[in-house]
Amino acid sequence: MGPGREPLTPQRCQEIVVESTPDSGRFTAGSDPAKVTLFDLGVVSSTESVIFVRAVKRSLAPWQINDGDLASSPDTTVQQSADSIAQNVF
Amino acid sequence: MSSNYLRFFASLLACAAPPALADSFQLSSTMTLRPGAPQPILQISTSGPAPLDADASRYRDKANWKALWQTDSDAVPTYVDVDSIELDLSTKHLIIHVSGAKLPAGDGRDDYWTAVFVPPAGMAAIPQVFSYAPRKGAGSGGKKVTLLAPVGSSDQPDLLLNGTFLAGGGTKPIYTLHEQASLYAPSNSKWNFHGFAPGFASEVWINQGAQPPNNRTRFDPDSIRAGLSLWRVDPIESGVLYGMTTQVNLIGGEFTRSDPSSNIMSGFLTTLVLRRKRLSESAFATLYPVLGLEGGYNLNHPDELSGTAVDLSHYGGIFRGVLGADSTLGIANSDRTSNVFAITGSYRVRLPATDEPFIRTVHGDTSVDLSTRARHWLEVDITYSPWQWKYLALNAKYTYGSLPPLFSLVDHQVSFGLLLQAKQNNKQALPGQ
Repeated sequence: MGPGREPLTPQRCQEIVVESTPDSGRFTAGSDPAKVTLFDLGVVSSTESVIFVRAVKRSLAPWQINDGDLASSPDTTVQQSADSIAQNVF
Repeated sequence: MSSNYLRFFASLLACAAPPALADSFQLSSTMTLRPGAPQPILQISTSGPAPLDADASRYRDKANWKALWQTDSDAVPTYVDVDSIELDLSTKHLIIHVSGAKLPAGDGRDDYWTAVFVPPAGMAAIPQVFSYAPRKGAGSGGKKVTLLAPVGSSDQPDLLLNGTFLAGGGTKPIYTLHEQASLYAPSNSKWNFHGFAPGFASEVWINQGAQPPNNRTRFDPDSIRAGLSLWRVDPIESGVLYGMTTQVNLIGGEFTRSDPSSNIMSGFLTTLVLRRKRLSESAFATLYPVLGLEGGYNLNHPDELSGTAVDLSHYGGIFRGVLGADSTLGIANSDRTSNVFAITGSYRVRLPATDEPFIRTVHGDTSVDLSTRARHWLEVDITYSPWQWKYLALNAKYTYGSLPPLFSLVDHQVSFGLLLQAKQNNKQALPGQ
């Protein structure tokens, strides 16, 4: 683990994904991360996808991830996107 | 027992077992290791509702789990002790804590891991094997993506070719074509700098102003714009503003062939991406305001237009403000990968600070105005793509207004045709911040 890099729990990865979407308020305590898609949270086009990737990268610092490694298309579920963070950060 | 043997054993059982119910608790095939943990922690994604109490206790029983790791996929496996298992229902993960004298250092993400769940007798579940392979290193990239993909949801296409055909008595056929391209370097390009990706942008309109009757079939570009560009993305996440994109046109040209004219131009266009809410489960609306500046110089202009002598000798320096918006009203398909139906609108108003031509042709009479009046352009497309191959769509287009360099007025034109469009996949993979 690098200096100042806190462990990325599934909870933290999920928080970063949800908070980086345009409409994060739609994801509530009872929402199912395996069913709610990024489209449901306002990522309805590649324009929002690109900004979503940038927002996630900003929240992840000092962890880093390659843009193409982050699952960010509208049909991606919150869980898939969060797992892609855990899988690919460096 | 090697990990390969475990996988073979589990796959044999899986083939003989009935499929799991879609709405029941399931372990997915995705296993990750917790980044930055002081020692390896395995995380398996789950789906479906929480398991019944009896099943939950079986999933949490460490006697039903095996875990091992290897330095390489062909290396001798090292078994580790499974200490405890927890079910995190808020993130839908099953978390396995391991220990042992032979654990790899750190979070273990540089090694290959295998976890095996063997359900006890009486449990309605099959053995499952979960694998983790380390990523190939920083900057290696993950899954391979194709260069182009179908346009989805409210995507603006990066490549577009729209053609229409009009035939009738007393007129030669009239073809109209609209080409648009904006392609940029991907994230791993060595040409990226300071968050900007270099690329190429072009837009060509052919025969947009043609009206029947037409005495000859021709392909005369009314407006050609092409040049080298830079593109960057900035997340804002403040109030209603989610982010913005900026396209800087370094050097480019505006041309028309029918009445030869050309401008050399530079400028930028910023698109504001507003937060929006869905209208329903699949319907959505977007609004992207745009603003920018265009500046340059006229290189040549015609002496006459449609047989009418014109004096454009004062047409020289060019400086314009650009305002407008792009919007979409669409219905996404059930898997959210593309649109079933979409209405897209694009409006631009160019506000010249210096005199520029404005050409209007009414009943064959052409008038030319050299002024700073606002130049509007409105384009509305209705696109319907009933096919599986989403690159092709039926299209109805409405256009009104004028485009540089000569700003010939297109007066309320409606056309129907085929649309071939795609988006650039790795455009998402722009350089880091």
